[in-house]
Amino acid sequence: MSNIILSTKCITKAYEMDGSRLEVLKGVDLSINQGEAVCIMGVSGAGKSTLLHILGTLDMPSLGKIYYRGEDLTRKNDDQLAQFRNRKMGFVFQFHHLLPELDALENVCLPARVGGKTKREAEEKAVKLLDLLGLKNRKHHYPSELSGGERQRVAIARALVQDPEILFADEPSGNLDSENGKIIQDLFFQLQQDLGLTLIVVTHDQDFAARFPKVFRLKNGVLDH
Amino acid sequence: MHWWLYRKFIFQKKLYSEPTTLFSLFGISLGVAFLVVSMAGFSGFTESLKSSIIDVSGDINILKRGGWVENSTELEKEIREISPEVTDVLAFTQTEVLVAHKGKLNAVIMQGIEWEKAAKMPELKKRMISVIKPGDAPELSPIYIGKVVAERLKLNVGDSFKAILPRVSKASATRISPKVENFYVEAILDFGKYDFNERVVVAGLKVVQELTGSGDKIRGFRLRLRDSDLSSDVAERLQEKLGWDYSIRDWTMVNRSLFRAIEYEKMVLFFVMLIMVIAAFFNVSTTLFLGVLRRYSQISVMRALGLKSRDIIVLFCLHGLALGVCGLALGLTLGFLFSWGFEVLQKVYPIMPEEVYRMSNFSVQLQLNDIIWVIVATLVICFLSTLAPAFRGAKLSPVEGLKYE
Repeated sequence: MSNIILSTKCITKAYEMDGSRLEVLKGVDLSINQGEAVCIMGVSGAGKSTLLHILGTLDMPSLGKIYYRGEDLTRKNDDQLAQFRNRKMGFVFQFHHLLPELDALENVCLPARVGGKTKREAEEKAVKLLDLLGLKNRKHHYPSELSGGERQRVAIARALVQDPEILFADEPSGNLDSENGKIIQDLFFQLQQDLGLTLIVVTHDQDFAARFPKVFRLKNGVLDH
Repeated sequence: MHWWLYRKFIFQKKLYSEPTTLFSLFGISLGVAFLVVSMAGFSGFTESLKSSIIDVSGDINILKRGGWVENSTELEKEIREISPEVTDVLAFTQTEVLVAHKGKLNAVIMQGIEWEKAAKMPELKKRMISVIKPGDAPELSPIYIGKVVAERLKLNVGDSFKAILPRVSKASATRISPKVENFYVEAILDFGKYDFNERVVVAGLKVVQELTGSGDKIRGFRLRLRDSDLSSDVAERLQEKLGWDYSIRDWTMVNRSLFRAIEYEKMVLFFVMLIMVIAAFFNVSTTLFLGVLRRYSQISVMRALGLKSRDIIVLFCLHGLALGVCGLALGLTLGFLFSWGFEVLQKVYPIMPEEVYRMSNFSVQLQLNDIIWVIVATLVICFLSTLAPAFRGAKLSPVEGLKYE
């Protein structure tokens, strides 16, 4: 039985700009197994974030298909995809993107509450994750009251609260100093191993990429396995 | 529906202290306040006119055509039987007389009503602007006069004057033999309507009957009903039963075209003022559009975490509605204050030329009906104004907002 959790078939992403066509991804084929830690590397503008967004169903390809366990995700509408992301995927972005109106606990609870969990259920899970990530005393602090590393850890807790199968991270340590960046990188590998997650990380950090067993290199929109 | 999330977003102090939000609130408040004041003004004008007509002529005025009512007791009994809605029946007579004082003459309509009842009638009592002190009354017939008559003839309470009724002599048709009666001014009234103030004086029934030589006959009855709005129906019923020997007019028939014109003008003004409110809500749209742009990354994150496009629409609609409700509450408060201020000011400094509008001042009346219309119209406009920015927010691509902090 196939162990492939996510795969793409001839993904192309093009933008029409001032009458000219700019192809960011050119026929990308890849497949990722369940529980795998995968890194997508490339220079700035290579299309790695675009590919991550398409894999995470945040964006749709101009051409080609994305499959989750053989199910064609390009056939789903926006609301079905929103629900799918909520249940199966977690996201950590370069900029933490925590909601400033909510404190750390509420930010972490957000996907669980959106997914239909009660306040109590969501908070129980969120508290566990915040404790696990060393933020026990920061639950009721707002993002503006947290350091960069703490914000990113809250964002990781938020990504994990729905027990996703796939965790996407776009330059997760790109906005942190080297010490905090290292802590976050270690955390990703530890969580991937402890929770059996499929981890898909985009980075241009060679040292970080070197720690992944599988690396996809993107060059001018073409994937080099 | 994620109420907890919407609540967090909508009830933020910071949100309501932003200049764009404050300008939006200010615009809505002013629009709503003007709408309330204009509606209150029109309602007050209508009510003042109505009450002035009813106070002078009753809810229904029954007049014997071309003659006198001889069997008044029987007629009163019949009226009460036909219309149980009647609470008061006031016999009256009236005639045109000349009044003279200090060399000045003025033609007036002298109404004669049962004097014992007149002194207790709240509709006359509330209209007295000056009244003689008890014990100062001279040994003459008392009379109430309209304030314009008092001004023209330079009459004050306690002053006496002559009322002259020119009568054609029975002996010769060319000979005029005037009948004269002396009165003293017991009270000066403001009937609330210029036409009445310059034409109406009210005396005792018996005195007027004596002056006109009509014995104990009367011209008709004034009826008060338990509800003035029943007047048309009751008048119709009375006309049907009493027949065409009697002219029966309810208060709506007096100045009917004026009442209708006021009603139309009120409706037109409502829509004109509503345009102000609509214009104010363009500010709300702009504020929400700015909110959508400012929250682009937050919208993207919420979409990435599983919020559906309809959740984003609800979020911005609720945000707009919250602004609308705040503006509405502020506007209603301002409207009540402006209405109160307007009423006080126009009593001190009359702004309406009495000769043109036939009323010197009017009470400003806030009617529940008008307030409900203002609230409903404002909320509907508010909701519509939120739709464009809300749909814009829902349509944003989740990706673009995630690229930047």
